[in-house]
Amino acid sequence: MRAARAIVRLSAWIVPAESRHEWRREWLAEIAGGCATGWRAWRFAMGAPRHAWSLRWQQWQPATLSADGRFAWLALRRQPGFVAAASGTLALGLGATLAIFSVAYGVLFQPLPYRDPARLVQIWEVNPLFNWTEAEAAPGNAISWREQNAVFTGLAWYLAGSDRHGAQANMTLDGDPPERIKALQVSANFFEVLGVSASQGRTFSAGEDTPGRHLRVVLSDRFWRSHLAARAGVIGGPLRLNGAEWVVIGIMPASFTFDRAETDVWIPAAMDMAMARDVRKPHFLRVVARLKPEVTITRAQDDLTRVARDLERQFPETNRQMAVGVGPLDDWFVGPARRPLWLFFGGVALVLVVACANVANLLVARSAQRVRQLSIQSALGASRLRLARQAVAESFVLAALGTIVGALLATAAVRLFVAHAPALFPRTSEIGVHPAVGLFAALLALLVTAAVGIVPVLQVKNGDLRAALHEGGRGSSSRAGLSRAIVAIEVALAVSLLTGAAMTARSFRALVGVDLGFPIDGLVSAQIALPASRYGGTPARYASFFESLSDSLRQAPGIESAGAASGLPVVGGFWTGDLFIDGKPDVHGRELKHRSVTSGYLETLGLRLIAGRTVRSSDRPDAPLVAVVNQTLARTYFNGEDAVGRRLAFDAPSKNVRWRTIVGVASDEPQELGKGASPMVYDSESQEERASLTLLVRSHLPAAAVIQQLRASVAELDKRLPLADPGPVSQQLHDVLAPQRLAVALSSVFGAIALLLAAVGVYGVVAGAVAMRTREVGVRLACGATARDVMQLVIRQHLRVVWIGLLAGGVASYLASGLAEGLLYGIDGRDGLSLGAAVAVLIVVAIAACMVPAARVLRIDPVKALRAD
Amino acid sequence: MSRRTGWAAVRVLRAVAQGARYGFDIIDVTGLPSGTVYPALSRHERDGYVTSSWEDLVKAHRDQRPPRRYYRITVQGKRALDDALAELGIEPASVLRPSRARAK
Repeated sequence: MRAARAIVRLSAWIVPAESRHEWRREWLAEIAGGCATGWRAWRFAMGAPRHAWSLRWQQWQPATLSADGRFAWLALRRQPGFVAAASGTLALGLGATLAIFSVAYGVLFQPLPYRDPARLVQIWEVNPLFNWTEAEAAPGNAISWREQNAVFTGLAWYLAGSDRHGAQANMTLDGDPPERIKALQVSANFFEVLGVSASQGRTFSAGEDTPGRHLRVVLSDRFWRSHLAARAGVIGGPLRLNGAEWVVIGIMPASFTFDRAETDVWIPAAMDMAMARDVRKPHFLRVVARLKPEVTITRAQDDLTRVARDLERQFPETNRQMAVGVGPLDDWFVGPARRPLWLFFGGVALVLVVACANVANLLVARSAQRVRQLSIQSALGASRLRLARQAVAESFVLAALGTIVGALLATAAVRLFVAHAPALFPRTSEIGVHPAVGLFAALLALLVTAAVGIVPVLQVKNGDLRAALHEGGRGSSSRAGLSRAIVAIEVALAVSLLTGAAMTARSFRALVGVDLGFPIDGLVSAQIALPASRYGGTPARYASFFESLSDSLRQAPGIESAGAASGLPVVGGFWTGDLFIDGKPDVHGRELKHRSVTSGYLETLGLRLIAGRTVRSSDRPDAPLVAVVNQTLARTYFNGEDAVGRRLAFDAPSKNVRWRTIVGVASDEPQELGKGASPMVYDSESQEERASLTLLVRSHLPAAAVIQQLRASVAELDKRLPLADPGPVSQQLHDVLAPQRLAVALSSVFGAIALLLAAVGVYGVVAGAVAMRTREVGVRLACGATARDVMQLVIRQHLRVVWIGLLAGGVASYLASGLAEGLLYGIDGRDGLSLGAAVAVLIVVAIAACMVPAARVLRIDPVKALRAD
Repeated sequence: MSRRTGWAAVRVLRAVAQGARYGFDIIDVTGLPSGTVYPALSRHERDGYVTSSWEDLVKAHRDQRPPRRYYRITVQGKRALDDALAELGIEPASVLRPSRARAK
C-alpha cells in the first residue's frame, strides 16, 4: 500500500498543475477504498504514471495548440497598430537580412561554375616603377610564364579590357542590317584550363589561336537562342563576322559565364607565338591558370617570381622591376565587392537583432498593459504554462507574419537589385533564391521566433505572476533599463546611418553638378569599328573614312559639328603611355593619357583652345606628327614656357622614337568624374589609323533624329557597317553614375530602416512606461497635476534616452568619417550639414514617437486608475 | 465517437453506461488495467462523454475511506457509445438495457 501511494505521489508531478490536486485525490481514494491486498494496490498504482503522461500529452495535442493560435490571433486582431508595428519591424529586419544574404551567397559563397574552381588562379603583373598593382601581362611575359613555370597544369589568357574585366571586342555580325556583337578573345586552351566543355560541338583545340587557323567561333547559349533561333545543326556551319566567314565549332552551356555575362561569342586571340615571344610591351593580356594538385598559391607565387627575376635579367629594358602577382580566380572576380558586401551583411544582421529587441520591447510593454487580463485568466484557473503558451503563440503569429512579409520584401529587393546592378556587380547572374537562401530564411525565422517568444516565457516563468499582480504591474526597473539601452543604441545607429545617407546623397549631387568643362547637352555619340578586311590595306583608309563621314554629317541639316575620336571624356576611353619630352630628361617615363582624334572633334566637344591650333585634316601620315596637349600638361611640364613648337613622344622606348610636335594647347576635359585632370595628349587619327572610333556629333535636334541622320550618313558611305551604342552623351554620363546612384539608394534605404526602428523603439518604451505607471499617473492627477504636466514629464524623461543616443551616434559618425574618405566627392568626410540634418530628423521623429503613447496619459481617469488596485 | 477510439475505450464507456461508477469498479467490470482505464476516462471526460463528481463526504466517512470520484455517462456519451457499438456490429439496446433497469 505504501509503495502504491508513493508511485501515485511521484506521478502526480507529471500531471499538469491545474488538475494535479484532484488527480492525486482520486487515485489515493481508490487505493484507500478498494484494495484488499498490497499486490492489488501495487498493480493498480502502476497505471498512474501512464495516466499522468497521457494527461500531460493531451496539453500539447494539435487541438489545444490550434486553440492557442486562434486565441492569439483573436487577441492580436484587436490591436492592429501593435501587430503592424511588431511584425512590420520584423519584416524589415528579416527582409533586409535575407536580401543581402541572397546577394552575398550568389556573389561570395557560390563556387565558380568551373571544374575544381579552387585550383584556378589569376596572374597579373606588378611594377613599382609605374605604380602597377594588378596590371595586364605582356604577351612575351605570359608565354615565358607558361613555358618556364613548374606549378601549373595549364596557363591561358584572354584580352584585357578596362579595370579587371576582359575586353569585349565589338564584332560586326554581317546581315541586313548588320549588328554589333560582343566577343571575348581567348587563347586556345582557355576552356581546357577552366575545365568546361561545350554543350554541343567542341571548344578550341591546340593551335587554333594561330593567325590563319583562327576563324573558329564558340557561341554562348544566349546568342545561339537569340540569333540562330536555337537551331540544331549550326555546328560546323558558317557565321559571317567582320566580313569574313567563321566556322561555328561549339555552343557553351547556358550556365557558363566568364568575367561578364554579356559575351555573345568566344573567338581565339590570334597570336603568332614566335613573334609574340618578343613582345614584352605593351601589356594587354589577362592570365588564368590551373594549379597542379598539392601546389599552394604561395608556392605558385614563389615560382613565378623566380621566372620574373630571370626575365628581368634577360630583358632589362622592358622588364625592369617587373614582378608577378597570383591570386584565387574567384577573388579576382569579386575582390572589390567582397568588403562592401560583408559590411552590408554585418549591417543588416545588426538591424535584425535590433528589430528583434524592438519587438521584444513592444511585447513587454503590451504584457504590462495586460496584467489585469492575465490576472483574470489566472484566477479562472489558467496555469502559468497555459498563459505562457498563449503568449508564445502570439509571438509565433507575429514572427510568422513578419517572416512572410520579410520574405516577400527580400524577393522584391533581390529582383530589383539584379535588374539594376549587373553592370556594376560581379556574378549577378548567380544571385537568386537558392535552396541555401531558403534554408537560411527558415533558420532566421526560427531564431526570430525564439528571440521574440522567449520574452513572455521569461516573464511568466521568472517573476511570480501573482506577486506581479499584487503590485499592480509595476514592472522591474532592470528590464526597463535594458529597454532604454536598446533604444539609445537604435537612436545612435539611426543617426550614423542617416548621416551616411545624407553624405552619400550630397556627394552624389556634387558629382552630378560638377562642371564638365564642355556643354554636354546636344552631344550624341556612336561607335564604329571598320573591318580590317576592307579598310586595312596599305595605306589604311580608316582615317579617311571618318574624315569623309564627319564632312558629310556637317553638311546635314541640323548638325552643327561632327568629329571622331578613340574615346569620350568621363565615360572612358584613352590610352596610356610613358611621356618623353625633348630636352626634358627629368620627366621621362611619367604616365600620360593619349587619344586619337579627327579634325572637328575638339571643336564638337567644345573644349577651349588656349594656344596654337587643333588637329586638322591636313595632319596626314606624310605630314609631321602633331599633338595637341591639355592645359594640365602644359602647366605641369612647361611651367611658364610656351609649349607650342616643343616635341614629345609617348610610344618609346623603341629604337626609332616618334617625336610629335605640339601644335596647340586645349582646356582640360574631365577624364574621370570627381578626379582632377592629368596630363593628356590628342594625336591625329590620320597619323595613327585606329580602326575603331567613337563618332561625336553636336546638334540641337532631338537625339532620335540625330541618330537617324547618323545611320543614313554611314549607310551612304558603307551599307555593311553597323552603328554601336548610339545615344546622347548625357545618357552615358547617367550610366557612369549608376554605382553612385545605387549607393545613394542603398544608404537611404538603410537610413530609413534605422529611423523606423528607432521610432518603434521609442514608441515601445514610452508606451510600456505609461502603461506601467498608470497608478502613479493617477496619483499625480489626483494630487492636482494637469494631464499636460504629466505628459510633459513622461516625454521629458524618455527624451533623455534619445539625447544619449544622439550624442553617441554623433560621436560615432564623427569617428567613422575616416571610412568614407575617398568615397565621397565634393564634401568633407566630417560633413556638419549632413550630421545636423540627421540629428534634426531624428529629434522630430523621436518626439512624435514619444507623443503618441504619452498622449494616453490624457485618457487616464485618476479615479479609475486608483480604484483599479 | 468521432475520433478513432480503441476497443478498450469503448469498453470503458460501456462499463460506465452499465453503471460502474469509479475506477476500481470499472477495472473489475472490464478487466482492463488501471493504466488503460484512467486515460480512457480522462479522454471521455474531455470529449464530454462522461462527467465526474466527488462522492458525498458523509457517506465516505461512514465507510472509513476518502471520498471517491464517481463517473456518469452523458447523453452525448450514450449517443457516441451507440454509434461505436453499431459500427462494431453489436446491438446497442442489449447492452444499455441493464443500466436502465438499474436506474429504475
